Amino acid sequence: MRILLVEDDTLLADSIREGLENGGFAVDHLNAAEPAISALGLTHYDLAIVDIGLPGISGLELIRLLRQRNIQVPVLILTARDALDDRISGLDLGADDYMVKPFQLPELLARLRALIRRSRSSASSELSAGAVRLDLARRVATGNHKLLDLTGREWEILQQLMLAMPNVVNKQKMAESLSEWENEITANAVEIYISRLRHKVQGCGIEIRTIRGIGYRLDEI
Amino acid sequence: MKSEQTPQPPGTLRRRLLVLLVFPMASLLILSLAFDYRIAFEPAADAYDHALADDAFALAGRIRYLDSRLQVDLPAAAEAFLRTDRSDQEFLSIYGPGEQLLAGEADLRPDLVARGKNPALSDGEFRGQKIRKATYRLETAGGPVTVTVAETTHKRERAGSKILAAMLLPNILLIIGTLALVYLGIRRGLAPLTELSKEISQRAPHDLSPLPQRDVPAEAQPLVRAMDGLIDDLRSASAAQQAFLANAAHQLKTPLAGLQAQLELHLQELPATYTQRAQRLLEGTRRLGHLTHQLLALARSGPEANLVQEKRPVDLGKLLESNASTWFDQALARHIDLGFDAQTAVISGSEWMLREMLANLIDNALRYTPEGGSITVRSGVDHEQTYVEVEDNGPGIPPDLKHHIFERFYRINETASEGSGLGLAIVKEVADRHQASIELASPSSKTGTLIRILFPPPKHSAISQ
Repeated sequence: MRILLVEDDTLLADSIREGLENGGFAVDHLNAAEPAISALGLTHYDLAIVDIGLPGISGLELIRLLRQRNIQVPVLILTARDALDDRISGLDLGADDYMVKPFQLPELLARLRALIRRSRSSASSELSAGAVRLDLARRVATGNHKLLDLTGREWEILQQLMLAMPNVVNKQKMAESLSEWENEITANAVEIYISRLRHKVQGCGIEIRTIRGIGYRLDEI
Repeated sequence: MKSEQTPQPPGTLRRRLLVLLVFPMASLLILSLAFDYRIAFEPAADAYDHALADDAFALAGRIRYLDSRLQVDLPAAAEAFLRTDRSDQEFLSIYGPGEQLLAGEADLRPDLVARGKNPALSDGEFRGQKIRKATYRLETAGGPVTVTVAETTHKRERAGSKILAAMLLPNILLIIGTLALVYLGIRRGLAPLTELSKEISQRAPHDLSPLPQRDVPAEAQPLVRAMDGLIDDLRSASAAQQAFLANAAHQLKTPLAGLQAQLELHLQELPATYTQRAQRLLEGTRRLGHLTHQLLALARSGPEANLVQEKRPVDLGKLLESNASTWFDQALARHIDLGFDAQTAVISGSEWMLREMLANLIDNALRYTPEGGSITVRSGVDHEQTYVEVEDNGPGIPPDLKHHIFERFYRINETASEGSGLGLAIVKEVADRHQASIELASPSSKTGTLIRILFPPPKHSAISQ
């Protein structure tokens, strides 16, 4: 997977590059927005990491120009300010996620994987987390290359959790979305499906965590 | 020596204008009334004078020079006619040459008659009464004769008071009308100023947009311009401060992020004997990053930052839910059970500040709750008051330290592993910016801490979504 990193600070850029390469990504690094626009126009990247505080053309402006030119690469913003105004303007312009400096490399990697997973799922109709793979077209789930025997609702819940990674899925919303295609599903029923699902994906490198009062989150372990 | 000068209450511009206008106008109107009266009274007085002079002429016509003697042919009937008047007493006297009284009252003395003013008319007093007197001098064959006719002034006075009475009412109405017009005129004239001051007083405290220029009278323009200049200075100072903080954040956090990432990579590559030292370095760097973030947040949320922040409806419940994942990770790392009860709780506020507040409240609870403890964050509306609260079952805050915990850099135990002591100071700043109050309540479990932030009900009920 190929990632373009646009960051003008050498220390941070080198660290991120090394961290990503250790995580199995191929990384190209640029330190300004102008060459980044042409690079993204010429080459296919799975994702771009863009620092907001670039010299000259800012990171936000870069994203605006990309979207204007219809370059649909997923973009993760790096910002120094935990300002939601930065985040909102970034996400409004077409960025997909953001991280506040300083951050931990494992979290950056998790976010990148989630972004790529989401953009891939629409293209290749396959989702993966840990050793679990969901073939969305054929509705087939495998764990450690072995077929997972999931019911319709379990499959739906797992798909929602995988699509939302690394974010939390609201239990109430999950119940509502399940209710749409059959009879009414309660939040309590969701708990039962989750516990069955946990049992079935055991040992597949993922964990479904309960966030008390809100819902569930799928983590790769 | 201390001078006990109480400052005079500032007079309103309206009162000043009124006082400055009312007294001169009232004096002018009274003066004009006096002139009017004189002008109106003159024809009447002239007519009476004319009649008096006619009497003198008629009397003069009765003087004969017979047998080398001056005689007055004044039959009783004629005299009675002359002396008869409906309201006034009439007096007459005729003096011949050498002060010789020919007829009438001897004590009615003639006036001196100047050339060209014959008959001469004058005011005077006669037998204790005010009189009007006409003296007519004529040359006869027997020498100069003066005829004096006088009458009391009753009918003149009556005419005068009638004229005055007739003039008084319209003039008083004119005065009152003028004053009313002046008052209304001042009110209307000053209306733009009143509007302006209303507009200024109704402004949001952080609204630094220019004052409205329209409808401001030319006289007030310099004032408005001066205030706009002041606001402009404030705005640019505030913008400069915000730009400085943004720049500082970038300049501080970028190398910190690099340093932290380098240490993380370093830690992965190190042989086990060195990892402890590297781990401490990494923790120190993380703490430094956290402190930098908190200091910048505090600087951005403080009143001195003069934040030009547009408030918008923020649902604290949604804010909790959308950030739960980050906080959950922190809790996971510390083996603390973090739970939520996030009900809809909409307030008008600044989203990033509120997020910062929640993050610091939860961070604080995570720091002071031992491993295996539990923290619950709740939001909602209770008795029409929107609240967010964080409850933990940690050791709790000693009662005598409760009022210190919101001070900057205050820490309950001065141990290195604890936070910077800025977290709750940020919570307090953000609460202050939102007119919210902070309550330290006793949690349901006997030990532990329950910090509740109570927000005032929104002023505009328009925040419903």
